[in-house]
Amino acid sequence: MQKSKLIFLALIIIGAITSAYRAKPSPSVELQELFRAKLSEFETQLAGFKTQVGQQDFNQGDLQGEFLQLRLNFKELEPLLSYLSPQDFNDYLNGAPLPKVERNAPRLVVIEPKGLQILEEQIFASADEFDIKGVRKLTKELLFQYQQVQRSMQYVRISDRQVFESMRLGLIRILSLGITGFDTPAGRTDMRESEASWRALGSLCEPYLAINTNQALSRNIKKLWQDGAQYLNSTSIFTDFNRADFIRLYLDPLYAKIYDLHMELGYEFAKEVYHGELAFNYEARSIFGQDFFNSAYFTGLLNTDQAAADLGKQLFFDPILSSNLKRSCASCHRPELAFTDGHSTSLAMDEKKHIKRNSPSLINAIYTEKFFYDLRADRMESQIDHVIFNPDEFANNYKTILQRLNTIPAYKEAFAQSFPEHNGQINRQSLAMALTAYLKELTAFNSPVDRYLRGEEQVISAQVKQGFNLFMGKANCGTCHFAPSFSGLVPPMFEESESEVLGLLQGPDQLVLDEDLGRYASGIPSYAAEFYKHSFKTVSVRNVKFTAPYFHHGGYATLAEVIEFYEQGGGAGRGLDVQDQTLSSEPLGLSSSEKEALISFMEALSDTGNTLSLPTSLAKSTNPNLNFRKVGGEY
Amino acid sequence: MKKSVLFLGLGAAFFSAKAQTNFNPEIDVTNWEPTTIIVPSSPLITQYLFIGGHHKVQTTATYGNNAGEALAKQWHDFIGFTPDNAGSDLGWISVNHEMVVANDSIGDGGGMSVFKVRRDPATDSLIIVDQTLSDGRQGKFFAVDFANTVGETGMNCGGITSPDGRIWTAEEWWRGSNANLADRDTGMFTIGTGTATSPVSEGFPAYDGQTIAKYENYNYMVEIDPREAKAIRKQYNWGRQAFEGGAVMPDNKTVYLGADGTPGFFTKFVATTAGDFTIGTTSVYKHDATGSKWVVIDNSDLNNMLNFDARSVSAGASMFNRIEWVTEIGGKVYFTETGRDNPGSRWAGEKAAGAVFAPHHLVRAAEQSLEFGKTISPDSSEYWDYYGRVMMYDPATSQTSVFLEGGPYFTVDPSASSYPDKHLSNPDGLNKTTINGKDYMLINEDLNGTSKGRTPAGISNRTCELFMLDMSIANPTLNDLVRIAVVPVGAEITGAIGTTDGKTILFNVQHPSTSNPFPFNNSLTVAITGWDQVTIGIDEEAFEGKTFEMYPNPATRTLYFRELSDIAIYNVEGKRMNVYRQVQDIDISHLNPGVYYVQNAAGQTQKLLVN
Repeated sequence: MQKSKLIFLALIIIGAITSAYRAKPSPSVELQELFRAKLSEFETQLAGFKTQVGQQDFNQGDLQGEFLQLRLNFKELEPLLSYLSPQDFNDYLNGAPLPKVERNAPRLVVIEPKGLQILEEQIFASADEFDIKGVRKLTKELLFQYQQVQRSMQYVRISDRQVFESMRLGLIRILSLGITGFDTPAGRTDMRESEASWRALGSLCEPYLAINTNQALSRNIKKLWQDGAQYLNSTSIFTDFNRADFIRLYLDPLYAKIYDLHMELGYEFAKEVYHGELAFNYEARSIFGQDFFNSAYFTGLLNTDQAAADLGKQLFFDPILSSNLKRSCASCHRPELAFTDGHSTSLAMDEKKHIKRNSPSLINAIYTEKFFYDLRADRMESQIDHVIFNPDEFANNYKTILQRLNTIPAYKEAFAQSFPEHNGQINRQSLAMALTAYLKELTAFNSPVDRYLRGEEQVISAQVKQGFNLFMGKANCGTCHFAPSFSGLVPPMFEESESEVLGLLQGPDQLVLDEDLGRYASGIPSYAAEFYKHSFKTVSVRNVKFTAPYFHHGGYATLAEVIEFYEQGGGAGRGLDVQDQTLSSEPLGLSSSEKEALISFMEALSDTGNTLSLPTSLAKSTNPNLNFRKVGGEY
Repeated sequence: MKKSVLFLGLGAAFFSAKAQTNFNPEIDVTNWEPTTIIVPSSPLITQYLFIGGHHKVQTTATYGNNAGEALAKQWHDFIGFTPDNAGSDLGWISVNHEMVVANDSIGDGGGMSVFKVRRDPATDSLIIVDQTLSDGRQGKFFAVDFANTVGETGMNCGGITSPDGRIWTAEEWWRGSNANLADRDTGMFTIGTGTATSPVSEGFPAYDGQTIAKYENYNYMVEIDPREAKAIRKQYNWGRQAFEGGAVMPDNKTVYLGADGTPGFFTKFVATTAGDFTIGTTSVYKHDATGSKWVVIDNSDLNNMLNFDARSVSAGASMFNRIEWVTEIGGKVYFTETGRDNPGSRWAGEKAAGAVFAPHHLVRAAEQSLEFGKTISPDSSEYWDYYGRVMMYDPATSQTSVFLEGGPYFTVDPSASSYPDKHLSNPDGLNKTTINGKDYMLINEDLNGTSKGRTPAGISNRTCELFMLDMSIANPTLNDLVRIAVVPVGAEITGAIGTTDGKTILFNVQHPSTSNPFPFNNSLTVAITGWDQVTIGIDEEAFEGKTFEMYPNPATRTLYFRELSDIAIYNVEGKRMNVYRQVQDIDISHLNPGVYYVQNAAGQTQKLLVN
């Protein structure tokens, strides 16, 4: 008895071992060693730079040259460093040169920007504004923080999965933060840094190509890395770089192929390690794909079905949510205008006044961290609260709404079916979930531009292409309206929505600053920092063809006026005293044909999906007084 | 020739020793029957008692609006527990809302909600009791009235449960001016009577009639009555500070208080008469004082209380780096110091003005002097405090010491076998619970950042954890911590407290990611019941052999392994579901009942039957 059991056990172990072992080695181990070696190398370079800025007989021109070399070296570290330690990367090493509010602190503490970007601004300041003391201080801080990060990297174990994620996020970074010039705020004019980032990603990939048995795939990937590097290398002038071709021919195809390689090698995926949702679908094969963003992350709806979306659609067009039964969501969000209303600011409840701000488009509106122009709501439920309670919008309350909805059998049944977790109850959450399920359908990434960049369409007009290249380059649009959402949703993780201070004027013909305090006055304690005065959410430029008039006050009627505003460097560019303007006050120097090309591009960035149909009727209530409701409301 | 082969061989051995395991995306589970480990269903009962933005609270008439009901505020933080000693129910639960928001019915700012529970005699689970309060409000959940009693509240963070179940809430977020109070009424505030337009019913004997700016009516410990859901008084005599936590000692006279700031001062109040906290002596801790380590700040002068930090600096008080919660266990006082990454500039001014650094910061600075090769002081720009710690104050010696240091932090890459399995970063909430006569410390994390190893690098599970520590362990280390709950993605875990009968641990899930499925997208008060029936952690004797062994704790849904290893979980069809790197225990609370296969780095597989 005892003996046979032993043999049985032995068999199990042999069986287990033979079935489990994989022949493929793990390049992450050697990549980790290399990474650590590079970290030390960069520390030496940075320390050398610190010595140089510390010398009494410094020369600004020489420092600039040294700094550029330092940046190129930094790019070799960037893919893994930005992936493994994103917070330190943004806080201390290479974040935007803007002040921040301290995280998780018991009071409002403003943190001044640190790292390479702000250092670059100072090193490339004009000779009369050049401040060597400031440069020395920033360099000292950078070295210190870098060493702290470096030390914490000494005990991080890198897995192959993470290398693949770094590579793909690195491609998104090059697309949105590299070739757009985001990363190089002093406005340098070459593509060398993007080339360095590209080559660094290629080196991470190399050992995986070496062990991959699918030769065709390996050859394909290798060629894409090589050709892309060459393409970046062949253009020395920032404004001339053909971003559309580069993305279409090299960057986006690689984004797909690296995924294929990950699959091929059998390493685990993020979803096997991470229990939450990510803002993007790792499985998506194109950055401009219709499946790129993960709606479940943004809406919290994991398993809603068509019935829930249909219910949401009924509610969206049903004036039952407003106190006077005459206004629905669609009153200010009309499908034919990409769910805006064409007014500067929307009409209020009393049909006379106007509410404070312009009605934003709802197409792709779910892809955001925060709602409203002042970013005051962090979830759809609170967004809906604000509309329901606002005396100028729905002027209503949940008690009334829920009572009314419960008199409508069709709604009761639909809620019970779609939201069993709420035991058939209609409540604030299930109401918000239904509306959100509908908003989840108002998503569209199939504009001619998307199709062209994905390689599905072979041609696009030369003007649109020029416009895209300007948007992502010379015109500086893509550094805030980040691809692929073309909004302030920050790549490469897409977890944060940004706001900007533009120094907005009351209108194109008025040299007077708009007075709306924006984010600063939103009532959120941590937004009460001076630099949030007049700061507004960066909305998407997708579908701007349909969403005039523009900006939070709707003060600009045409895209030409909007572009002219940016051309002149916002309020500060017009000579007004704007505190903390985040938009550069330098003129863009766009020619009239370039401005037209930009408009062509933005107009081509149109896809409102299949969103035009309205419900034919509204569900009947057992209370006849509620049955005079009109689809979409009366005004 | 031979030499180089040998060299290569060594290289390969080194390589494979450090290599990660590549688990097959699928394994064949049809032809063999591995050892089966059974995970019994958890004997613990988990209940989501109170959901922010979902449950309705009964409100009083406020701002001219009638009494009625409103959706509960979110951002649950502290939990107070008041046993129902006179009645047959279990007790009252008080929950803080750490927010500042305008609200027509509940009152502007933050606030608290209260409810009463009793035990289901059959299952021990908690039942929320219907109540009628003496002001006529009826229902299950009640908003504590601050607006009409003490003049609103805000950012209600930590708090105090006294030994006899009295409750105080801490107003943490520092208000420096009337701007951005989110209050509709910012008129001058007179203690005892309120503002010109918003009268209050409660005052404070020693200060009634004194007038202060509205913002100066914040940042106190505020006592509430959980039975009647209303505030009783703001504790002006404990000083105006960015309070986070406190503890009333068993004598019912002595109160220790912590303020969340850099510097944060450690304060003591001693009541003249037990149970009457309106009269007594207020003092601030100065570890290097000659004679008593407590310097009295005269609380008969309201100005001293309004400018408590300045008076503490003048007194040369000891400075801490963000004190959070305070608790008493076995006659000693424990408090969390949550840390701040580079606090140097934050307390340099106070240092220059005469305040002193708490001794452990000087020790840390000395260690960092070695690290940086130059003299570092806690006010140097290089001085770092990434992880925070749990401190202990011994009333017998009047000395503070580090009880449990956060981290771990390494200056060099540790070997695989000593690679950290447990991390404690930025401890915040702190409390005690007594289960079957044994004291445990409850430690809640609230991360100041995700960098420097505070969470796993890259895309990973960045969650805050609730740890339990057996207080009978002498000189505990991080490895002695038992993780008893992991909160949903994006959330902070806070407020943990045990019920006095030792059966239930209550805690709050604060600001979870809004994209989690309901109800995990809201702040929640959670009750886990049955602790008196289970083993906490794992017995050392659980493992017998030397090979791949695993051992489940069904209560905490943890699977322990004998050795640190890479681990993969496969589903019943043999498809890979989860991969873990370098772990000795894993959280399996996401596994629904069913069959799974668990494989280790050596390729050995065992079957896991989850019930």
